[in-house]
Amino acid sequence: MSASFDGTSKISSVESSEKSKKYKEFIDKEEYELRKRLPRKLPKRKTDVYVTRKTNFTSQLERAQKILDSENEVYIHGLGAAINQAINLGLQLQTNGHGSVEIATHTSTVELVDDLEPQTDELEPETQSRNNSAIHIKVYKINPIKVELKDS
Amino acid sequence: MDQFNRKRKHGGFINNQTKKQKVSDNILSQAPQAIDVIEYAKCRAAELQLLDAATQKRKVSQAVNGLMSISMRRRAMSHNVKRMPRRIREMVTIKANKHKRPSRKHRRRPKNLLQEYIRRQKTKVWLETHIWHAKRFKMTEKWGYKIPYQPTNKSARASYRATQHHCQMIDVSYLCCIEILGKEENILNGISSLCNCQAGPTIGAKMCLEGTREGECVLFKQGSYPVGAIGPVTFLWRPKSESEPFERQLWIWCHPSCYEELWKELESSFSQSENCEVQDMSVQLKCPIEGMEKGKTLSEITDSSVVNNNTKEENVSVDLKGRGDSVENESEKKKEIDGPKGKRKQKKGKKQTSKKEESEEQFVKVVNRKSQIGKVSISSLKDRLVRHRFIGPESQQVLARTLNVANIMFNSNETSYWWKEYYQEKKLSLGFNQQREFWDGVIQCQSAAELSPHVVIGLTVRDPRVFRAKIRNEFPDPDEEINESFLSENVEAIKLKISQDVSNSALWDEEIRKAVTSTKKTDFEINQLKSEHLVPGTELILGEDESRIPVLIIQNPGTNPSEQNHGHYGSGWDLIMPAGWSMAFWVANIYHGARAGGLRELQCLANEQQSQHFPEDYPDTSAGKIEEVRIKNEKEAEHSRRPPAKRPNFNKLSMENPFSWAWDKLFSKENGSSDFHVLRDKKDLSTLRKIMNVAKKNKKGFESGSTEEGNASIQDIMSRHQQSLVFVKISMNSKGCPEEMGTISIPTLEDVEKMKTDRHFTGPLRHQQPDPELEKKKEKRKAQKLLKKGLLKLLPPQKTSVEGEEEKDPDDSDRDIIGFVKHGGFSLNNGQGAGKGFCSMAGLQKLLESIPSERNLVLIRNPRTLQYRFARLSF
Repeated sequence: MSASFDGTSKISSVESSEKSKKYKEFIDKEEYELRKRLPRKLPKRKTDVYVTRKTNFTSQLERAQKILDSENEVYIHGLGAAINQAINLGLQLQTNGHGSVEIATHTSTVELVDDLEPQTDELEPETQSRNNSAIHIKVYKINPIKVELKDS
Repeated sequence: MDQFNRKRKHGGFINNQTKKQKVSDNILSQAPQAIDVIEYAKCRAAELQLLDAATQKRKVSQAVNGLMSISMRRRAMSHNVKRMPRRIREMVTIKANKHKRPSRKHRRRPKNLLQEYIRRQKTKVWLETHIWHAKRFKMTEKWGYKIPYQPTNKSARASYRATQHHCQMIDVSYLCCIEILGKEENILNGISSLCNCQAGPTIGAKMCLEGTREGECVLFKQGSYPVGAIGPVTFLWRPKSESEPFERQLWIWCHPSCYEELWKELESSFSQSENCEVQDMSVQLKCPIEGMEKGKTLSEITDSSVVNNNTKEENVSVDLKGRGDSVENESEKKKEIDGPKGKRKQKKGKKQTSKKEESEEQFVKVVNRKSQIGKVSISSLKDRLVRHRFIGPESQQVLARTLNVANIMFNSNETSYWWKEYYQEKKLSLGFNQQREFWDGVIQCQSAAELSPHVVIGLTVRDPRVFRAKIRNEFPDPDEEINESFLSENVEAIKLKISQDVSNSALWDEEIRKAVTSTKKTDFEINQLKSEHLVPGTELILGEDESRIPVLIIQNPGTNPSEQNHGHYGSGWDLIMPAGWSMAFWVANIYHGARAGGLRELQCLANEQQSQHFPEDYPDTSAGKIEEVRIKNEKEAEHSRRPPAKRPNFNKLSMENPFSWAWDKLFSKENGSSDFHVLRDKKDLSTLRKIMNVAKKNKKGFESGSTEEGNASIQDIMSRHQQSLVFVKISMNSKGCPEEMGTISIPTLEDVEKMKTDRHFTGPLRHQQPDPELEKKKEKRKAQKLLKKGLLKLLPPQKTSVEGEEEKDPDDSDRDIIGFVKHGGFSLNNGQGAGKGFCSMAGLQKLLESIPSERNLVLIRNPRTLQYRFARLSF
């Protein structure tokens, strides 16, 4: 489950680390205020569950279970610090399925953008982009007969 | 009584013998031997007349009640007069017949209805969407407008859901726009005295000057920072034009409650910076009230007055009379017309119009407020622009569906349309293409929070009435599946820095605004065309005749994510368009899935975000003070309406100010003046934040500012802002919700220790205080009882000594009040009680000194309870 960085982003990450240091200084000096943009989301299907750290785990599990039962598959997405929770959720679903549920995992990198809002008149607004890893877990039922039964 | 006595003395006893006979003891002998009846009646004529008049003047119901015994009453007597006794009937029928309301059919005739609408608008301004709102909303009259307050079919929770998961739309057209024209340096010179860079970026901030970003700041009275705040404004610069790079145009949007104040302040500050007198260029329309009564519409009067003034005026293209338009539309039209016309008149007439008819009974209306100060001109765009606010993640989709980019490429060389003339310039038409591309990218986003904050996009869009919203069903169309390649392309466009061309719009041009408003096809015309359309439901094809509307779209970023909240709550868009188009876009957006909200929803949003909302949460502005007085009166009236047993006894609860916020009491009286201000200095606030926020997990052993350091910097702030309030966000520790006018006080050491040891301890309890008035009453009642029994003398009063002992309660006196809750309640966003309030700077200093380990821990007590509860402050 290693994050797949492509070459370009590696090079840029070195540059951006320097840049981000500079910005951090600015923020410490209170010349800029950091405002994180919402990460880009793909259009949501019925079977998508985006996991957050702040949502109650049990309710997330219940929701995912419900989708799994009705749609026979569920995609769990977790970003950054929420990856742990996403994995936890996937594994919980698998154990609850007693062998009838399988997991397929995919990892990716998401580009995030932060806005630096100037606190004084003379400064220009800046943006800073950084990468964060994400996980996408497909949880699905292996018994296809069940699907047909449900549909009919 | 004196009057009558006097009369009696003079005329009552006419017999001269009476005086002599007074001496004798016998009463009977005093009586007159004869009475002159005429004389007797004469003396009492006044009394009799009064009595007669009083009996005649009685109201109908009283007359019936008084004149008839209960046994004579019949069922449904008020319905059928013939059930009344005949002698009373006459009185009743005369009264009843006098004010008969005309029939509904009569009242609803377009002409009469319009007249009625005009009458109702005399004292206040209606929004363009008024009729739509009045059917569905509770309306309030505020700040000279009739504003929708809350939908009648939606609770606050439903509205919260709309902002969190869907799209809520609020008509904020009552916000006033002030336009300033002039050279950039002149404008900045004049305005710099109104804002201060210590309170954050000002109007001259570099990031906003390009015009790609809307800015916000708080304006103050001339050079009086930090006191004398007027109110928060948002402002927008027009992107520089290539031909005249120094001539700039600035829009300042302010709240109507501080509009007058701001206007005066702007005038005086510009006249100082320009060294020039203020030249009032505004046009006042005077038209007789009789005209109004005769059923003339305002626009007709405007027409006639324009003609009277002999200004060379081209014929007005819009004729009200000939149209069989719906009434709603006409009332709208009325508003549209008086604006542009005033402008035209002013341009050609130049100076004030002749005032021939100087009668007192005139209907005066300032049509176009404008003043010229040196090289700078300030003009009011109040009610000339429409502003709708969209909140929530779905606002993106809703706007994408209603705002269809117009086609500006037509080959014919006719230039009768504004857009043909406007887009003839190569640069502008290229800019138009950029706008279209950018907007396509924006549409792909799932939420407005994915874009850079406060970004401004200009667009020219199609008439929203010619196409119809799709019927929404649960299952998404397979066509709507978005292909990935298209997605990724547009993503890049959004990330780049926005260019000035994208933010430019024809909306800035006054002539174009006028043209767009006046060439609008009426609803009637559109409906007629639709009914003639062959395939119902498909879009009308009007070609060049279709209106193209320039709009500005401004992003709102919502809350910044922090430890307390998820962030991005309340993100959305503001849509600005020319007057007259409000209803068309409003209805289209409703059809496309937006949910309407009112003023309450705006307030609720600010409460959930724990941000300041003008004017309620600006106690140091005059508008905020007026609001506080209003709330106080309302609360007092509500309290006094109830009987004593059904309302809280605030003496017992020892709440000194249960109806108002007593900010003055937070400051020591040594300084004399009661002039306080709210701390808005960005640097001071951030140091305060650093000192007061207790880090939960000390990463790398980092202690968030040692106590001594904190004390020193707080002392520093105190020296500069002695009488200042600090805005605080309150979140409850466990149970309870803060309420309006609740007190924020410092906990004692015992309280904190008890909280740490006992998990279930939610807060100390205040002891009930005796109510002196109630005690007095009790005693009085007791005395009366005893008096009846004749035992009063046996019991001497002996209360005083007991009272003195009760007052010496150690629990009560030692919790200092440092602030008040401005608004509070259960926060749906946080899932617990939360609120916002203000603390005095001195109080915060005391709080820091009292318990250094728990710096932001306070006790909150609501006005109706004795229970203190723990809460945490954040800044």
